[in-house]
Amino acid sequence: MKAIVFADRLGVELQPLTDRTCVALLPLACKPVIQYTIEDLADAGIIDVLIATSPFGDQIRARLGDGARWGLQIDYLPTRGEERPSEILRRIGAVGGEELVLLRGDTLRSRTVRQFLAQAQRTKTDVVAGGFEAARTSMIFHCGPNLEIDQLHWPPTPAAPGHRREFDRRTIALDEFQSSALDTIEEYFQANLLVADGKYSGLLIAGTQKGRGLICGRRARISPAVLGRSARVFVGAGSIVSSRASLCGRVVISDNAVIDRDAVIDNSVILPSTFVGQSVVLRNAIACGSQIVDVASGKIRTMDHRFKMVDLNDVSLAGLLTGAVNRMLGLLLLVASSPLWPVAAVASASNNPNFVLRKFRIRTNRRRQLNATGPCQGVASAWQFSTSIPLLRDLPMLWAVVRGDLRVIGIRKLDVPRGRFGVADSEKLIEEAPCGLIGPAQLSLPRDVPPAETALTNAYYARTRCVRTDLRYLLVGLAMLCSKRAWIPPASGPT
Amino acid sequence: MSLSHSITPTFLDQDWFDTEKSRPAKDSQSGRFMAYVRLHARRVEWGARVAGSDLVKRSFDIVAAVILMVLFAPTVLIVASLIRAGSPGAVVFKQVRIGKYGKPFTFWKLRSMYADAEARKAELVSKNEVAGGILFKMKRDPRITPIGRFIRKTSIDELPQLWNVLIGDMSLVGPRPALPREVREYSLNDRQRLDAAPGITCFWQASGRSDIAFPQQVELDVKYVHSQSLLLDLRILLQTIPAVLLGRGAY
Repeated sequence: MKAIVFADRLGVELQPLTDRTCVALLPLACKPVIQYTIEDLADAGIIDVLIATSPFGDQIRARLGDGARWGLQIDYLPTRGEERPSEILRRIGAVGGEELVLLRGDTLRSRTVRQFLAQAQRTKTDVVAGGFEAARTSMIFHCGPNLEIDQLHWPPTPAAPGHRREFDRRTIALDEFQSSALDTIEEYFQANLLVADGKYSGLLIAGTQKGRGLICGRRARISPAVLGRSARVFVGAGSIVSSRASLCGRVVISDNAVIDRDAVIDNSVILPSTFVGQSVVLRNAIACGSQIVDVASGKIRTMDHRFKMVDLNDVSLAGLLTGAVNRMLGLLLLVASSPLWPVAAVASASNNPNFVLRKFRIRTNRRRQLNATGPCQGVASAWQFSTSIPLLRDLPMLWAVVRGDLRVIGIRKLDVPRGRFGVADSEKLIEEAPCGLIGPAQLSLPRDVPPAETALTNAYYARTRCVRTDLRYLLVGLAMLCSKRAWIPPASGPT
Repeated sequence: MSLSHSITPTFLDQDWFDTEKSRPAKDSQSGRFMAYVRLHARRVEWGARVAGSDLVKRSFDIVAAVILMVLFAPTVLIVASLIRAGSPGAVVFKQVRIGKYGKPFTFWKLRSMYADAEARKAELVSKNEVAGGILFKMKRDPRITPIGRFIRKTSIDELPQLWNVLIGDMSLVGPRPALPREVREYSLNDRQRLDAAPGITCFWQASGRSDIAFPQQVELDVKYVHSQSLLLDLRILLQTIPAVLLGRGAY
């Protein structure tokens, strides 16, 4: 028997929690949602598992691997996202062949697959549903050509009344069945608290009881004194809670979080790797990076300073020094290029006698401004010589580097109209990446490439940049100082 | 009906919006600067914790494995020649065992049984002395060579596992590595002992060796996995020395 797990929800209803991960990997009491399903399948004796993934499918693959940890063999099937289960089955040709059990990997159920299969295999029908709760079916056993399995489709669509009654006859009732569709922020929040409390039967909790109302994961550091009187707290692996913090009500702190002193956490869920700073108060909220999501209203509030709350994966030590290093490098280049300035001035004057320097706007790393769609990079002024020799033309931009508006290596964003927000993911990535004097598009691509290819290269750089790639580009850039491209004007217009 | 109605979040007041209220005025430049310094200090500590603990254990394993390999090299050579002289067959015995997170690896031991030991096992299953049915171990196993009996009692046969420790399949301290056949029978709860790298010596081996029943072994292994730290490892290693010298429970 094979299992097919659908984990392709796009997660729009759970934003901003699903900005960087998919619903299947959201933690419930410090374990990803899909892991509970996987463990349920392992417990039921199923070995062959196929997971249909969509957004962040590579993250699911990295997390679950090949399933050896649970004695399973897991395969992955990328899909477009929220596709109909019947479509997926038709595409992979699994119709009418072996017995299949179908479930969703991005919703929560108590451990009932074994019980369901034992009963389902005894019936003579080819599509049997189980775990029916809140007008939703949770698992389907399939062994014939009938493809009426779209009960598992996300988002769920209510079936026609006659159709529903027909299906009811093929539904098995299960003992001790609980489920949560995780379709709203509040549902996710409640599910977290319930799983941490052990209210879902059969689910393995990733922690051990360490005292009254305290469950801790591996290497969690918390002293029982920070708990309020009737507090029930779940602390994930590797998390540190300061001895001067205070936790009250029901609190779930996910893995590798840091709660600083004098923080007050009341009936809240903290997502992994979050730093909750000094004296921050969280009530009935989910802490996600620098954002607080109010559970009841769904309102999102962004912390104005990173030291109050931030995702620690976003705080890089390299970032501290980068600003200073870039400015010093800019100053060095400015000084080193001073002999070229008179040359550039003469070239510009001969090219364009009216004005030598041209002023224009660039995107800057230093300031941020608020837009209709949220905060984005601000705008500053920069100058260029009005010659068409690329190297000489860009000399005044070194002043922008010294000021801190530009880095030496980054994405070249000149004359970008203010407030233009890309719809595609790659454009958004480029928007958020640091602005530079010279970038991968200039250093690694030939001159006359279509803008789409430039955008792709920039997006790739934005996604994979690190100190090492920046250094490499810097060396390439320095080598290019003597190359033809730096000195010969382009055939048509500026680069 | 979902269970969401059984818990109602308590709304205290609008205060949750105002994090400024609970803190004295920190909007000064120096206050903000200090807060950023604090953030970065915590970040360093966090980075060290997240990456560090595994790194520390691994470094300790490598250093200790090298030292022990050097120390025990003469012993291994002498014993190897004795094994060679005593019975025909290879000196080292290799097996596939299951490591961290279910990944199989090649496990090395000095040979202490006759070459056809696996074949003779079927006859002896009834004499299995470990309760729980999954493991197989018995005293006075007739398949063991005379030199084998000695090296098992003194645990010299485990020395080649230092090589496994060096290449990273195993650690010095951890749950004992299980056979694939055993792991196939594991329940979901038992599988938790695969969450750590297997070790040459383990939590319960340092105190009672193989005398305890399988469910208790799993329980103690899971407890080890949850509370693992360098100090605990050192303590277990120190306890291992008398346990080995007295040959308690190894047969």
